[in-house]
Amino acid sequence: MMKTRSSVILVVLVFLGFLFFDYGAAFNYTVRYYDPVVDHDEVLAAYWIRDNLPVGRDVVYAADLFASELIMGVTASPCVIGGDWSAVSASEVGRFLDCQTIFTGSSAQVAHDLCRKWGVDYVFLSNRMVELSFYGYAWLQISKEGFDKFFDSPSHFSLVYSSAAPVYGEEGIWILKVLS
Amino acid sequence: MDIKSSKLIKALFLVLVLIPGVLLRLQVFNVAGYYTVVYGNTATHISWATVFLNTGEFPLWEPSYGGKPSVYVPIYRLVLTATAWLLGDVLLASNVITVASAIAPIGLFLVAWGLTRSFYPSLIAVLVSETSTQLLIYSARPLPQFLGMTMLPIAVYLFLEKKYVATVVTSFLISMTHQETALVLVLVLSAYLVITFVLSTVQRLMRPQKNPSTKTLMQRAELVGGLASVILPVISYLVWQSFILGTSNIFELAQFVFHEHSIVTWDHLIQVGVACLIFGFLGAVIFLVRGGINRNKILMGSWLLVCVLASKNEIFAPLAPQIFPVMCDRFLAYLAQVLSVFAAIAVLTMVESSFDLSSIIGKVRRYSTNL
Repeated sequence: MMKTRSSVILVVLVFLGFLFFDYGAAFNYTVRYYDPVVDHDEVLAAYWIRDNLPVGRDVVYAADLFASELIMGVTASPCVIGGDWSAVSASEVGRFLDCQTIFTGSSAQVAHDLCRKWGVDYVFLSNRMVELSFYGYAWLQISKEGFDKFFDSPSHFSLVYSSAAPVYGEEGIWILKVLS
Repeated sequence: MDIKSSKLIKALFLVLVLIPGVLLRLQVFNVAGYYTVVYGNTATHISWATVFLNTGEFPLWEPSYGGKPSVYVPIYRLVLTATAWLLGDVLLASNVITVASAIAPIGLFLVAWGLTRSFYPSLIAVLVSETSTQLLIYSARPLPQFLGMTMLPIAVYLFLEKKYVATVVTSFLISMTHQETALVLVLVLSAYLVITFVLSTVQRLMRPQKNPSTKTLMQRAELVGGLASVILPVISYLVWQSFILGTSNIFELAQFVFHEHSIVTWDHLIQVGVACLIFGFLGAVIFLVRGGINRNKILMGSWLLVCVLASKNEIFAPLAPQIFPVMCDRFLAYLAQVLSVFAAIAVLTMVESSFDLSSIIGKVRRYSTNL
């Protein structure tokens, strides 16, 4: 009987050891999911949009997935993407590729055409997005050409908010109006 | 010890086992700060609540995807909106809900208690569930899934306790909270009804005269309650989807069309939790193999079977390639739930096999009373 008890105590101790180990792993892994991904300055810019730009159902913004979710959450304005991609019908998922092209492509004309296609009124761009953007299919970087096209094409895009001079690779947030 | 202080001590222990989950969730304020969690598309629910609060009207559109309606069912969003209205801030509400999701394992405690009628060992189910990464990443964030996964074991417990009306109501609430969770419940109850029906039929055929009681293995109330708990959520969701998207064909959803999934690997399995896996499957064997067949075993066996098969649903791809594989790894969180209950049974059985547990608990009670 003593032998059995000792074995059970040993097994229970092993069980507790596993629990302790598992809790540590679960804690560290789950807390990573609390990362809001966007920068604090992007949060401030979203509040600036809410207080200074037209918002509401008829005003559409374009950004990468995480900034889109930020803008949606703060302003309740629609974005081209944002939200669980699988919650929409299959015919809608082409939005991701188009949104990706708006930001990562080098042609201002193509970006402008795609903005018009999806009824985009404003484009939200940040250095965080330049370094690491996510559009639903992959983590991508925006090239210098992809960044500069927004500022080199005054007939397509007009700067309405700027936290710093638009220099590729430098910190800053820029909001551009899509011209008709 | 009087009944009142006994209840107080039990409540204290229940709170104590929830603390690891609360501590983890409080990190949301450290990591996310004032803004909120983004992974899991939590902001899509926040934006819906913001529209509701701004306009005062139930939104049939949402800011996702250019302002179109999506198939999200409404209960979690209504809870978020109500919390935001009470607190006066939707982002704060989202983070408060993250911390409040620590109540998620309560249903697992109820199931373990329903099976064992042992209070303290049932707390082990709560502790084990709080160590499962796969379970936590879906139940420790401000998402409909946390609410659905809180209600799922409660529905199982209610069915276990033969409270069929409450089971039907809960199954409906789950279908309006989180579709994937509703699917798991529907599959579990369907598997239970089919297995029970087959076993009843076999028993009747094998021993038609000798044991007439086998005819009542499934009571009429249970059959009606079980069927209603399967049919009502299915119809409710299909009506909702038809209303929102204009089609009731769920296979047109992107999840099925694009086969959203990751095949379950060892890395995924380890994230279920070592204790949860080892002691969970051990407890399953102990619970399901020992003694004769009864409804508790069929129900728990159905729960385990559904979660295992759902996690490996790529094996059905040759039969229905247009449907499978779909969301395989996402079902591991549900597997972790049922394994947490079995783990509690494993530990209870092992300890009981060598110790007189009621005597030990009695001694602890007397000791704490004398303090």
